[in-house]
Amino acid sequence: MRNESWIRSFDDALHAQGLAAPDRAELVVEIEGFLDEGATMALDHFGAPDVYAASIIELHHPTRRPSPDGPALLAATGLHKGFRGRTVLDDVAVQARAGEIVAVIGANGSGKSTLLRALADIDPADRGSIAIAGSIGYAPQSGGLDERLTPVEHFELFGGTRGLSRAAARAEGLRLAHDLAWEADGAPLAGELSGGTRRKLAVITALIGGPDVVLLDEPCQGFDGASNRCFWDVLSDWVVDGRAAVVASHLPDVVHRATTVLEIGEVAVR
Amino acid sequence: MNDLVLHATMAMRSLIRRRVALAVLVLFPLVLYAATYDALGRSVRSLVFGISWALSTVAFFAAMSARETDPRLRLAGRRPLFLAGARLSALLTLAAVLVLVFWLVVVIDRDVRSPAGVGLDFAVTAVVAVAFGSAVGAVLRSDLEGTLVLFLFAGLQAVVNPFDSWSRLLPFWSSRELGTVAIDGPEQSSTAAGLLHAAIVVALCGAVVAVGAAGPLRNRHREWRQGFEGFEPT
Repeated sequence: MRNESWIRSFDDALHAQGLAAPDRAELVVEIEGFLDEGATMALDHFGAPDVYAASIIELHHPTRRPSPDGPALLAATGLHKGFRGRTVLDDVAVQARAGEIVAVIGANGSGKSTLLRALADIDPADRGSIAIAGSIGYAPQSGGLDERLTPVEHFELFGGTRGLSRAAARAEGLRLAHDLAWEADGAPLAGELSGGTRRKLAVITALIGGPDVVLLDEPCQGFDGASNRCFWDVLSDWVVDGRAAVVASHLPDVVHRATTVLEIGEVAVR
Repeated sequence: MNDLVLHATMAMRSLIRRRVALAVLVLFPLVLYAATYDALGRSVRSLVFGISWALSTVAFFAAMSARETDPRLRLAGRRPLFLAGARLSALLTLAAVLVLVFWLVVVIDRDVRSPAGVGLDFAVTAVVAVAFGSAVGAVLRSDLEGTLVLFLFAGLQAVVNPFDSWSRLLPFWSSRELGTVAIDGPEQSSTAAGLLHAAIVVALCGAVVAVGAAGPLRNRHREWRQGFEGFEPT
């Protein structure tokens, strides 16, 4: 299916399900821009247009939706970070409350990954303060895995670090994988997985053991449409249970899935 | 203890799944040994050179590989020295097996003056190699740079005159000293001097590994404590 046909079908499906014209137009423009930028086939990335439209509608009439009304779990202010004389983060502030998904958006090179690495203190900010009330999970934009360990061994390693027994870590990892449309039992070494499946493994090792705050850098990179929807369902359930997530992404649907959007350089709260 | 076993086990699995590298690790010292077979002292020293380079390279690559997972595991609650300790446990276990194999080859194949001395030489070389490779892995971030540095130090040790005073600055000087005692006798060399040199090198390398591992955490504590002051979730 060509992108033009996909978008037409998507718009029809949204219309059939009662989404107002301005909202439809906004979605279509965003998706067109994304497809043009990445030379991506809509069907490959988002899946069937009617199914994707249904998932968007679900966001507008959710049964269990994240909302930023819990206590603050992460608060960072005045973050500065420079590389070789170039300022990447300039007085950036971010807060995440229990029940909140904060989307960090911005152009390539705007500092999304730098911000998450600073929040995780893997590459500390030059200035600023970060307060996190609880434990953190972090999935970097790439890597973060041992290529010579299997997914189950990763579950045991990361789950064990957060206090789970090996059996409990294995069970939780496999459950999370199943929720992300991946059957990880018996999967080969991490280095032999596809790019999208590796991303799932990175996300699971960030979520396993239930940290209070999770920082995910481009978590859906390489996901197919179904996996993308599964991911947001998993993350929504995750934060509704009293946790917070900060997600850096360049994909257009992140702004619809998040409760708060932070554009590097300016803050906008929906 | 169970946690340490879990991490050491995973580190060992990650190591032994580098099958081609492991094959080279075993073959490289043996090839050098065979190539210099005519002279007993030279062949044993070549084997020691092979052990030092091969094991330090494995330790270096283990440290490089851990750069992917260690920051995330630290974030999840593991102490840096715990992670380094688990990795060193796996490396030393692997080294012990290899040293035993090489030692059996030599004592069965050759009529050496002191089999125990040869064993001591191999074991000390393996420990120094693991420590030195881990230290280089804590400092350098490029595979190529690290491999070349390790080859430079191991190679220098093979070609320099061990009686030049500056040769004691090389990390594997103790290997040569202990090897000379084992092959030629204690007239020209000293076991105590070799062991002391090895202990100093291991201590220095351990300090480098500890500083490299704890550096990010030190920053993190300072930043985070500042961050928690006055912070009350609302």
